[in-house]
Amino acid sequence: MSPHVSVLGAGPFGATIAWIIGEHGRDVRLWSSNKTKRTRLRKTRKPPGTPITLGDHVEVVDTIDEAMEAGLVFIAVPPAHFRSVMKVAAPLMRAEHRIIHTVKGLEPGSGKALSTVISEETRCLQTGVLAGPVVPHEIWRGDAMSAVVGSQYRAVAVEAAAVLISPKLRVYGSLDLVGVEVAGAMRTPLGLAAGMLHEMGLGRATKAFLLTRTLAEAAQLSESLGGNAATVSGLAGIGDWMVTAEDMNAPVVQAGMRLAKGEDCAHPEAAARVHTLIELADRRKLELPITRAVGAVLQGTPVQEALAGLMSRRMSFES
Amino acid sequence: MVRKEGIARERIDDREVISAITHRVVTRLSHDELDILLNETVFMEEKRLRGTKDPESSAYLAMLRDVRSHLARASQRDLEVLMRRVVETYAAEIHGHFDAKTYASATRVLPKGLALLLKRQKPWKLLTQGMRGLTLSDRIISSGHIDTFDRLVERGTVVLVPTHLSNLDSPVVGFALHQNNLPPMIYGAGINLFTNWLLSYFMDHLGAYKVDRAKQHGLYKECLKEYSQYALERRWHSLFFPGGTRSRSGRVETKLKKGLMGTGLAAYQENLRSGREHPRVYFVPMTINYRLVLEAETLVEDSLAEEGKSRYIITDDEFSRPDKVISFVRKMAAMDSSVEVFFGQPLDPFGNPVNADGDSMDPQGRTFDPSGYVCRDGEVIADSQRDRIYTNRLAGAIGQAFLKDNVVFETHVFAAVMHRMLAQVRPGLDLYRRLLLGPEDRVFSTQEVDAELDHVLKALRVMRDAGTIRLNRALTTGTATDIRHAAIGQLGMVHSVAAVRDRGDGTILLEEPKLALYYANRLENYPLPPPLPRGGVA
Repeated sequence: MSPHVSVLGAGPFGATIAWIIGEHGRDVRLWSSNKTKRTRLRKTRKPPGTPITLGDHVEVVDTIDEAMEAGLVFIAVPPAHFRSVMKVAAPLMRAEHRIIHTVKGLEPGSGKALSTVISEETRCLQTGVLAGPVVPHEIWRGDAMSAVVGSQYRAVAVEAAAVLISPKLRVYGSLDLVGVEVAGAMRTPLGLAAGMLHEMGLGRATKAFLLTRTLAEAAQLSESLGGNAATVSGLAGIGDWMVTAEDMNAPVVQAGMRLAKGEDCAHPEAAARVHTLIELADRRKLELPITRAVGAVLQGTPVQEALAGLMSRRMSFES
Repeated sequence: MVRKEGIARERIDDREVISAITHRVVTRLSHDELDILLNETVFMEEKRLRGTKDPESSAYLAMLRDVRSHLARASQRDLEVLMRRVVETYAAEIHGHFDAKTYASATRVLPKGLALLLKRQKPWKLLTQGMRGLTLSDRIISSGHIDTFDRLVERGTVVLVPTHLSNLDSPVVGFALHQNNLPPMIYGAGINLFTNWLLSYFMDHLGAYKVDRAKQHGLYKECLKEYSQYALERRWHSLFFPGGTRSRSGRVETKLKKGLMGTGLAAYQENLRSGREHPRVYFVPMTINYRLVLEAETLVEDSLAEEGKSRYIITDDEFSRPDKVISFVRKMAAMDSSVEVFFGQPLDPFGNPVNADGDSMDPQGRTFDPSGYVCRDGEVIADSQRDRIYTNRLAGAIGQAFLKDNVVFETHVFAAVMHRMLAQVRPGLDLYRRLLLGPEDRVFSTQEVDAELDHVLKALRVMRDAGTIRLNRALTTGTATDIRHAAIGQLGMVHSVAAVRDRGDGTILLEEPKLALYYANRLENYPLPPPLPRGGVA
């Protein structure tokens, strides 16, 4: 009998999802496109970059075909590789598949939400996204935390939440798939900006300014793409951003700190994600001033200058 | 010979149909609060029919009042009996009485009659030559996925979903089906059309079922939806206009009604549940494209007026004047291919395209079994929230097909060009103020018009090559000047006023901006480039 659940992508986050599911006695298949990684994982059971050990319920499989035998599939691959993985998975996809991606970002270049990429490449309609303030090193040590599954389909959100829920992880549902995806995408400019502010030695008031105005930008973007403004005030938005803004070890925050020092951000994926958001904002004729300011810094504008630009914008109303 | 498919495939026992519909509606609603539902029905119908003198309506109202008088002390079982009584009345009213013989006669005679009208045949010629050779084929051109349609009627149930512009649509669709040897389809027709006994006889026997749009309460709508689902499960191919009513503005409809559309998915699931041999349900989007629309003047007025929102059934348009209809049809006959009917690519109830074998296709053209969208481990899972999303997706796909398969004529492009130029006269004005501009602001040089026409044509041809719109033959090859001449002539032919007039001095007057707007709106929702700057032509 095939397992009910699979995870495509065995990076730290994908492996953690498989670990969470397996720890609660549910069979799950884990697949990586990297053969060396698969072999090592099968041998050591220890995903690189994590302190966890995969239990007996996690089966590391060699082929994507074996992974796609499951009905519920989590996809944890970076946005830049997402479409190519979908192209490989598409011929194996069945109408009954439920696909949940875990990516906090939009497709580079097209600016499309990754659920849109799924529907463009495959026959799968029942899609969703897992998002929220899930911090790997905190979940590995057993802290209580929460997440949200966004899907237009109530049954998909319920099913995905059911395989993840544990005494340490509370999972909520949202029917606003677009809103949850947008909230996840806006984490990157927020994280970069938070790193910059920290490096500049600015205090809590500036961070509050950053959080609330990023919220306004995310709400605008969500509405423009057909989502709800309110969704970004939930776990996938403000919940996740609060964690990010405070986590000085987060790679995206560290990249922001390097930028504030005038160094290269050394996080090309974060830079690409911001660039994608700005292109999308251009197409949608949205201002998104904070996102654009972060984009300017990535292009070489000094942080002080970008901040001064933000502060000197003409007065406007909050809503 | 009527093709033995769909409703023509079997002998229909009317009592069985009415009883089945009644049983299904009552069973489905039995978990609801029946007394509240019945009370609401009586209340709304009483309000609607207050003061009626019509004996039939009075008897109907008396029946409802009698039902209400029993509600207070009724047990659940009593309530079901009362509900059955009301639902049975509606089911009997809705159900049509298709008759293959009547259909065969009508399809043999009516196209000849219409052709006669279109050809302006002299009676003496008819007597000497008979009706042989009379054909509508050169006036109503049908194309598209006709062969696929033809195959699908044998593989499952087909739901034809056309655009709706004119009261001529139903006979035009009927002709297109007959012309291509496609089977008869049942369709919902306004009950007001059944008041004429002759028309009523034919409609009742040609596959029409009655829809009373005045009955706005939920119970009646449930009966209608159940009838549609039941018909689809019995493989009676069906037709309905998803726009609900004729497009008032002339725009291609993109906001579609989903009530009846959803019955396709419900029927598919019931077919799977029951293990029926041909469970598949296919939706075929169809565009009916007219060079000119008889009712254009009334429809556009209605669209612009505030009351357009409430006047659902127009009873006093150009179609209420038989002389106007005959005159219109005759003038249309003078023009080749004045109506083009396009059968779009079929879709499954989830909005996926379907190939000629009836298989659903994914975005890369790979075929697959769509039953997994509603089944888990071979069992159909009921989920109304999920089904609403699927039906929304289908509605989106039909709307996209309408845009892609919209066939544009010279009248549409020329009217759009005139309106683009009008919008440049006073750029800040909204549409309503623009329509009130005086004649001095509505005169344009022929040279400028041709330049703008050429500009728009180029963009349309690029869109045509990309497969996002269709152009008629004249637009495919004609020059701006050819198209201008043709459009001005045609726009001045059938309406009470000419929309545009060539003043003969190198200028063109946009005489009736509202009427022109109706035709211009056909190009709304397409990404046309900004107009050329005024005065840019030497």
